[in-house]
This record gives sequence, structure tokens and C-alpha cells, in this order.
Amino acid sequence: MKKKVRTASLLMALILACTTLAGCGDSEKTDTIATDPTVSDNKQSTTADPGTSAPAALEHVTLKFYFFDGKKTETDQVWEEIANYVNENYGLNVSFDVQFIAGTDYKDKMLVKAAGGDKWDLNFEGDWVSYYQMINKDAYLALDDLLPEYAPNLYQTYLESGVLDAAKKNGSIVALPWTMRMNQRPYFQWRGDLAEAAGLNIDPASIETMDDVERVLALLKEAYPDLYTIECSSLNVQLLQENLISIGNNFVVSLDDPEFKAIPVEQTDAYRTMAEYGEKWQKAGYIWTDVLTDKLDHNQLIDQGRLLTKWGDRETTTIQRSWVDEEAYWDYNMLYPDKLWVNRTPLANCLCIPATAENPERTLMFLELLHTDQDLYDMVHYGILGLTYELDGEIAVYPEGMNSSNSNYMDWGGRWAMWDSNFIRPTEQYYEGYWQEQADFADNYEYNIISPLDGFNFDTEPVKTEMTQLNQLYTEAHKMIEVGLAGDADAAVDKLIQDRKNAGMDKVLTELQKQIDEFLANK
Amino acid sequence: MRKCKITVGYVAILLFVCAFALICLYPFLLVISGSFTSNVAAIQYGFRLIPGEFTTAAYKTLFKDISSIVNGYKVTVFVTVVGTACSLLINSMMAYVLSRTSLPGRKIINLYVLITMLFNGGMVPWYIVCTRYLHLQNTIWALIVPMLVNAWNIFLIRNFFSSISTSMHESALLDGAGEFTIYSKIYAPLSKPVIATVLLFTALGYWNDWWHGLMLIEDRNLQPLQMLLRSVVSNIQFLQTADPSPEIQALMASIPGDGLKMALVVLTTGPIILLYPFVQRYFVAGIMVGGVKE
Repeated sequence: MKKKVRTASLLMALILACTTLAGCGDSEKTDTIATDPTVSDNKQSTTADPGTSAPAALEHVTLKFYFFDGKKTETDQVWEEIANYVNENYGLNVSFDVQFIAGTDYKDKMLVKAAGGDKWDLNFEGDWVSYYQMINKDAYLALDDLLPEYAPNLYQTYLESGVLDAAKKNGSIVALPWTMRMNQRPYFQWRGDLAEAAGLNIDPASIETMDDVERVLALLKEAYPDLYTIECSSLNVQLLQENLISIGNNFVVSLDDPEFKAIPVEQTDAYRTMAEYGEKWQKAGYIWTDVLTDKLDHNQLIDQGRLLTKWGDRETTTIQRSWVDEEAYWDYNMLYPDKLWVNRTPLANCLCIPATAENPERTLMFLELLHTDQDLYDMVHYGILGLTYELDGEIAVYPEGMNSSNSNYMDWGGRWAMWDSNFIRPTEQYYEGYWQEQADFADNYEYNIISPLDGFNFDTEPVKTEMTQLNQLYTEAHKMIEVGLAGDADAAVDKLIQDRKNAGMDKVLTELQKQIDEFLANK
Repeated sequence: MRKCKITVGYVAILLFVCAFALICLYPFLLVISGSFTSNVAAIQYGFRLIPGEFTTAAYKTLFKDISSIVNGYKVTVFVTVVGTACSLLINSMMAYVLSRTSLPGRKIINLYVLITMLFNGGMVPWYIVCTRYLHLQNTIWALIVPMLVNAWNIFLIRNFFSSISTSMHESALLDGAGEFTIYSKIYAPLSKPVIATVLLFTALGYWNDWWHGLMLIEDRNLQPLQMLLRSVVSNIQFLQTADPSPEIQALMASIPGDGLKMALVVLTTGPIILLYPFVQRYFVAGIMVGGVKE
């Protein structure tokens, strides 16, 4: 009897342990990617030509796309209509499964999906999302052969605009970049309506330097001592002043240096000056003391009129912002207008086809149609006329009762990668002629340049241990320094320099420089 | 009959406890009040216990997409009820077995359970197990199975079971009861405090879970309620942590105002608060007794 009980107990415990405990550990975020190289060869064969092929030549496939942000309520209906449109008019024979992932979760989930070998057909990407991590793990398909064959017009546009160089890894095209042109020169913006209400006579054109900015801050602080004046000092403005450009991972290069030697950003004069401003503005009360701990949403503060200024760029300052207070508006000006600043990378918003995709040909055919058909473009970007948008002349507007916060389709996140200057409509946010202005400015302003390192990506794999530590040290110190809460600015910067040197900066710097030299040599 | 003596100290303690309760209640009331405050009033007067300007606009906006809220409720309620029941059963059964000193290899099994509290395989292996081997993706079980077993809860219940006199077990055996009968008819009823405590932990865990919905569910009809809140929070986090691109900054406009956020909080967290009163009386005893082994 006792033996039976023991055996039963043991069996019970083992079954429970083996079947259930194996999956009970908490998941932990990781960057590890282990894509299966064999899956990239698993491609559907088709000889169809977009727009001209016989519908019967194509088997039905479902294209699965991932975009950024939350899913709007009418998304599925709109994409069903899009499928009907491309099937009836072009015989593409597809249906769409369109998924959305919001905010910080986007990067995490895409990295895990790629590592887990999931199959999908297209996803939104950008240099500010997960592009570099994904290409370092070979998660995206090389499109050199497929792109000219299945999207010839799109390919031609890319060739003419010269954006494909930035979208290559080891010489292969791994991304479909956007073709919008713009420059994000640093601007300073402040609440013009509140300045005016306080009787402050600030001529926007006169605000060009940090001293000018400081003058505005002092005036605003005096006029509105109970409101938040500014959230931090600006590294970008200091980099601009010193002719430096960021190359990611907290490194910069000087535009005055023909060899483009990488410099840790904290070792530049620009960084030290930024830190000094942070300290000074903290002491003066322009930056509020509990800025790091109060957990306030700074964008909400701006909406609520409680934060008076903002560091901006040419794009964000000129967008028509929908204020809660209808009288509110920004005044703004470009800082250091005679200093060089690089145009925005074509990788700012792009599309990528994963190495595991089963239908890259059909996806490219769809993108080709999107590039050549205004009606399809309207459907994808704005949805169904009358249901998800209305036309006010050429302007796409929300249907009655809707706005950006309750839109049922318009303004979905990730559409940016598919923006096409030939087809894009003005909206309430991006006014008529906005994109042409941006492109003209990027192309014609004499101090705008194309980054000599556009498309360069530091593959941190050989020094990943050191990089992790360096980034951690930088993040922890920088957040204190830029708001002036690190004590003496000079001492804090010296400590950061020394800490990062001790954590293996030399080794990382050597590897980084090697990769920059190789990139430039192969360019 | 014993008379209750009202002393100054007693009154002071009562007052202190009442004040403390009010302090705890204040944030909840503020959130409820905030959900009925208009954006303009929130900017002008801030959030107050009595709304500066009463409006139901936030709820009206939310209820425009009532189907996803109702659907989210259905999914979350199902997952919470079924998940909690299954989890309680499995954890307590495991705890019962581990509490038996006569179990051969008990130490090794205990260690195996303990290890899962300290280490895990990482997110990618976890994802691969869930999607490729257990095929949980886009099924309701994706929201239940990964959280079924919890080592902490197992140890909590095991310690409680261990404190029950072994003579009970022996006498039940002599009376002819099997192990499962002893577990279900004697140990489980005697362990109401710890069971209620684990029930609360588990139910809260299932109710508040959005992570499994994010990673494993793409079918909108299977998305739990918390995903509604998560997508808003995630966008806000992104705006705060990254150096946001202009496009992302343009998304700011689509992030709901504070009133709507608070209405979302009321809708998504409100019902689970009702669970507390029912299990409260077991709660303290459960924690204390489970935490100490004689």
C-alpha cells in the first residue's frame, strides 16, 4: 500500500513538473536572434508581371503585413476593399492580414518574431525602430533581383532619387526606403500666444544662438514662474554648432575631418557645453527639479499649456498641431542657420521584407501598384471615401465627428514608409505644399548636406559586451547631465569619459573605426 | 456579554485607520473623477475630486467602439475564471505532492521548481515553445497556459500544507482514503486562507495580463481587455523614451487626453477591485501562515 502511494505521488509530481513547469518562467527581453538561413530560400515561384499578368496565373495568397501603432477600427474592412480592388483590376489574387503593434512593443515583438522564425510578408521599419538590429541578424531578405523584376517603376524611382545606397547591407538591398526628402535642422520653439499675452516682444527671426534661446527662457520664466519652461538642454544644437553629426550608439564624426574619425560624444566640446547649459538652467529654475521623477507626459504638458518651449526641427515645427486651446501656437526659428546639418536619412521610414517571407514577389507587385495607381494609394492611405475620410477639394479630412484621437482609419501608423510625393494628399496636419517645401528646403538650402555615412550601421556584434556596458553608462549619466542634475557639469562629464574608457571604449572605438573605413572604402 | 470599552487610544487608532483608508481611496476617486472631467477643465483647474466641468465625453468616445470593449471583457473574464481555476488546481496539487515528506526525490523536484523562480530560458525560446511546439498562437489558451504554474504560489501553498499535522494524513490513510481524496477533502478545505490568497494573486495576474496577448494573439476577437490600455501606454512610453521621429510626434495627436485615459483605467481595472472584499478576510492569514514553516 505504502509503495503504491509513493509511486502515485512520484508519478503525480513528475507529470506536473515536466508538463507544466517547463513553460512557467517569466519571459525576459533579449536581443538574441537566430534566424534560420534556409528559410529565405523558400520562395514561391511565379513569372507573373504586375499589372499585365493573367489573373489565372497567380495562386491566391494572403499577405501578412505589420505596421506601427494601434489598429484602427475599420482597418480590416479597408484592406478587404483594397484586396478586392487589386484582384479585380490587376488580378493580384491576394487577401491581406494587416496587424499593428504599438509603441515600445513594436521593436521587441518584431525582434522576437524574427528570432522565432515566424513568417510574414512585409513590415514597417526605420532607423529609429529596429532596422539596424534586424539587419545585423540577417532578418531581412536581399531584394537585388526581385525588386527590379517585380517592381520596376518603384526601382526606377529609387535609382533616380539615389536612396538605395542607404538601404544596403554588404552591398545588398535589404529595405525599401521612403523617397520623401527633408532636413531636420535643430529649431527652438516657444508658445507664441503666451509670450504675446505676457507682453513679451520676441522676434522669432532674432533667435539663432544658444544665448538667444537663454534670453527667451529667462523672459518666459519671469512671465510664467509657475509653468514649466524647458525640459532639458539640447545636445543636437551643440553638435550643430561644432559641425558634428551623430552616427548612432553615442558616437559622432566631424564634418571637418576628411577621415571621419569616430569620437565618443561625451569627449566632444559640444557635449561639455550641453552639460554646462543643463547645469546652468537647472540652477536658474528653467528646467524643473523633479523632471526625471515626476513621470509627467511632456507632450501632454505642451497640450495643456504647462510647458512653454520645445526643441524641435524643421518638420515638427511646421506641422499644423491640433491644440486643445484653439488660441495656442508656436513661435519658432532655426538655430545656427549657417552651420552644416545632414538631410534626413531615407531609412527614417522604410519597409522590409523578412527573410522568412513566403510571397516576396506578390508583396513587391503590390508595392509597385501602390507606386503607380492614385486610387489604390488613396485607399491604402485614407481608406474608403465617405466611411473613413472625406475630400475637401484635394485635402483628405476626417469624416464628421472624428479627429486624430478617434479616427477609424486615417492617420494609421506606419503609412509613412509608403508616402509618395506624387500621390500624397494634404491633410489637416500636413498642409497643401508642405512636402514640396520640405523637399525644396532639403535640396536647396546651402548648409544642408547628404551624410557621408548615410546607410552606415555599426555592427556591434564583435564588441557587444563592451557596447552594452558603454550604453548603460551613457544612458544613466546622460539623463542626469542633460537636465543639470548631475552636480558639477565638468566633473560629471569627466567621470562619464573615464567610466566609459574603463568599460572598454578603446576596443569599441577601434572596431567602429574599422567598420567606418570599410564602409567608406566600399562606397 | 462583554462591553466594548471606548478609550482615547481606541478612537485615535480608529481615526488613524480611517484617515489611512481615505488616503488609499483618494487616487481611485481621483481617477474616477478625472474620467468625468473635460480636457479644458483639467487644464484650467487640474484634476479634482469633484470634476471642474462634468462630462461623459470620454466614455462616449470609448463606447463608440463598444464591440471591442465588450469582446475584451468576455475574453478577460473567461481567461481569469478558467485560468484561475486551472492554475489553483495545478499549483495546489503540485504543492500537496511536494509537501509529502515520503515523496522520493522530493528535494530534487523542489529544486527544479525553485530554479524556475531564479532562471528562465529567455524570451525567444519561450516564444518558440509557445508558437512552434504548443501551437498557442491565436488561441485563447495562449492567455491561460503560460501562466498556469507559478513556483512562488506552489511554495506558498506547500508551506501551508506542511504546517497541517501529519497525523491527519495518516489517520485518513488508515480510514482508506487515497491521496487525491486526502488532498481534496482534507487539505484543500483546511487551507482556505492560502487558497484565497493565491486565488487573488492569480486572478489579478490573469486580469492584468497584456503581455501574452501582445506576443501570442493577433486575432482581434481574442485580445484581452488590457490590450486596449496597453497600446495607449506603449505609445506614450515610446514618445518619452526614444528620440521621437516627426511622424511619431505627429502620432501624439492620436493619443487620447487624460480624461479618456482615466476612463480606460476605470473600465479595465474597475471590476477586479470587487474581488478584494470577498477574499480579504483570508488574505493576511494566508500570507503569514504560508510564509512560515514550523
